[in-house]
Amino acid sequence: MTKLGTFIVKTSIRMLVTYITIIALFFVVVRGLPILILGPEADPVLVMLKKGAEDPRFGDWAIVTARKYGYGQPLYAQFIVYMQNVLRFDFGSSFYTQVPAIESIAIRLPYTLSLYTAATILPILIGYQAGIISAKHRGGKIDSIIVQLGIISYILPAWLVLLILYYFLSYLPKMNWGFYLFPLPVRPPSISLIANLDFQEIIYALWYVTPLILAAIIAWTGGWVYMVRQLVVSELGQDYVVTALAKGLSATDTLKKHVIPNLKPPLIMALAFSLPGIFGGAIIFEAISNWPGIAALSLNAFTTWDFPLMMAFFTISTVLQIVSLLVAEIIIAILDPRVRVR
Amino acid sequence: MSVAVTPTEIIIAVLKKRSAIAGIALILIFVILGGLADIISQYDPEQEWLADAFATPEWVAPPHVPRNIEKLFATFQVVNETVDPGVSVEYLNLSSGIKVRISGVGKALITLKPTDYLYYPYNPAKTLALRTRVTVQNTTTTMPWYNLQIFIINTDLLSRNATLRVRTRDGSTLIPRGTFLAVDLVKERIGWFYEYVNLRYYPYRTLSIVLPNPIINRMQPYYDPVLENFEAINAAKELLLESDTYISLLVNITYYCNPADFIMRCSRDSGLEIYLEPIVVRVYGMTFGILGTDYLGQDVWSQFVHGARGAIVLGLSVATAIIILGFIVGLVLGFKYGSVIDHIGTFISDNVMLIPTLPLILATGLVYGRSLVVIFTVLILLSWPGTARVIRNWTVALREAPFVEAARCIGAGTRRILFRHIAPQLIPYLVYRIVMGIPGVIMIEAALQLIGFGDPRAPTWGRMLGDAYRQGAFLENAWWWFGPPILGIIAISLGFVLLGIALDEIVNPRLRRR
Repeated sequence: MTKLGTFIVKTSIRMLVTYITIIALFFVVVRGLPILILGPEADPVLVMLKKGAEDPRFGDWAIVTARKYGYGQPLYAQFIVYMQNVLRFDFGSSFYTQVPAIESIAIRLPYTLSLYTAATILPILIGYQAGIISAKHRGGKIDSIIVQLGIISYILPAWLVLLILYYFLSYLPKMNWGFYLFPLPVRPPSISLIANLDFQEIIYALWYVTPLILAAIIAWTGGWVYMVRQLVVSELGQDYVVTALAKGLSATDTLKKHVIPNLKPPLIMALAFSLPGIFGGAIIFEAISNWPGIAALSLNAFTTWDFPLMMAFFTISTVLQIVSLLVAEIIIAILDPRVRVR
Repeated sequence: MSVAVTPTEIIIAVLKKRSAIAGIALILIFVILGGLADIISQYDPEQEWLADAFATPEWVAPPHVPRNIEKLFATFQVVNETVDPGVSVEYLNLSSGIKVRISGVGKALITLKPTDYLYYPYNPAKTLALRTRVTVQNTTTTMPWYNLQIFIINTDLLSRNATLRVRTRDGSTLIPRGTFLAVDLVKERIGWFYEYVNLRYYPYRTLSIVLPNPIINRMQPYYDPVLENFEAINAAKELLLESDTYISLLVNITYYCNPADFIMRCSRDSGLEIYLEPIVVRVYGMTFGILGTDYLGQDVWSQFVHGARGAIVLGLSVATAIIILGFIVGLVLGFKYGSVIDHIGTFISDNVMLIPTLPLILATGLVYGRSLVVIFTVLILLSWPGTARVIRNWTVALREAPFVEAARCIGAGTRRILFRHIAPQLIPYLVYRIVMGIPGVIMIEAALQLIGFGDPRAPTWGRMLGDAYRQGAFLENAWWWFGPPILGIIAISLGFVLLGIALDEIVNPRLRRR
């Protein structure tokens, strides 16, 4: 296990370096370049702070904030302050609501995470089963049906499926006949669901999230089906399968005991690489459906140049991606000893 | 490991597959639609108010649904003329329009009526617009008071006193909200004309009043305190109560000049020239064209065919850029396998892969403008590592191949080996990657549009869909508006993916082996 331990430590350090690089890049692109090109006055955050300082009610708040975060200082000094703050997860208060950005993100993060997890796990579970069934009946009728459905599902993006679901199951019946199967994306569930434990509200939230999960399943299963099927089919052509069958093992046992263990590392690797896409999809989901996750809040922050919230959102999304990739790599290392040696 | 398949062999192999042919056919349909977009769509996709907002397609509309009707009232006759003895009135029929010259001291009330009328055969429409230009010119530096109103009347309903009167104070700010059709220039004169006259900076200045063009009347659940003193009636709703009615106009001109009034600054010789151009009355149809209209009365069909062009051009160019960037990086890294360059490049590509694409696109769009160039530049700069990684591994394998060694033996340089010997081996795979990458590009553009962060002027299906979603097409059940872009996106993706899967089976050695 020591080898595994060093692997984990090495990977973690690599991910930490990556994290710092990405966070620095965000500063360079969003604030460094405008300041370098157009001069220090063009800093959007500074413009925003000055606007706030015109209002006498804010008093010295703008000055205090500017000093605390180093806005208005030379660029390299700002960068150092920025990095210190980000590494401590201290993004400051939103310019508008005065609530600490990390608090407003934290209260919404469970919603995003639950959606993200469900949208990741359910499609892969269903796709895995369907892919194996399809590969088992290779060339048969079930196989061709599953493959065709898989291609359609692969083509459809999740948000498009969500729009179609909303139209046919919410808007159309609601506008024409006065009932709906899923609630219209108009009244999102309350943000303080977990704190209040209102049973009715929880039911409503589950009902509200059903079309999102459904869309994720419809849209993201196809890729897995295709991938699992290809993997199983190419594994079935290997010599060890012939050996297993020749020594009298039944087809089911061969599949379970010999083929499936070999599928796991490539599948988990593919999952790790698909996570950014799923996360991006979750953001668009939230924006379309008003699901009270971090995306709706952050999109608003982006349009109003609420820099602390923007920063918090970007950092949290980076952390989510890096952590999911880290977990995936560690799982692969546990499953596949070859990786550790590399 | 090398893919020794010539282009002709690949094309023949692709053409043997039914699914690939279906994919090519789908792509070709959209290529033709996009290529002939200017010919098969009559209208400019950006042109507004071609018909009423949310007009249905013509082929689903019953016969009595309102269609566009336009009528030009060019000749006028005097219906009523109440003039003080001191005032002289002259009418001049010009080639386009009528000129009324009023001068002298006293009051004048003139009512003009067009000699023609508009026959309206359909069911009641929702929107009625009037378009004209009125030019008022004072003949001296002083200026009398005047009031000019244009009414639209339904000649069948005159006895029920359903004449429309609407007054606006400031045409430019108030008319577009609501409703209405006549202009009260007196108020405007107090604020605007009087200033010039008083300052005497611009003697004999010609003041031209252009009505907002066109003035639209739509009932909207909107409250504006300025509208309170308004006689606001939905003109179309009041006028077009039934089919087979006749629409006409009334133009009222009031003139008043009193030299004793010192505020007025009107002198004995002052007068007005009112030049009234032909008045166009238009009833906006609630059914229009092949695919109806969107919330601004723009033609959906021409948006759709221009969107097909946008999808193919953007998808192809951006996907090609991504793949070629990844290809070059991967080729170099693979050839320098194990060196410092390889380590640095691999580190960078691993990091780039982890950058959250969508949040970074949102942020850069806000800093540098939400244009297609910015969005796709960021997308290209963030999406190459996937290709680079695969190409690197292949190049590493190909580097040891006998033909490379042979090339090196006869003295070929690194660049020549890379681009003359190794790169051609990988081109079929690149084509496959590009074909599979196009749907992704189209989808990302559309997704950005849907959450309101896309290029607001982009001629794409994504913009259609984003506009439709945010402007209430789902609530209005305007399927002709949001349906085509959805179907277009799905169909073109299906085409490219079918072609891509066929190419995959030919090009990818892992699958070809079976």
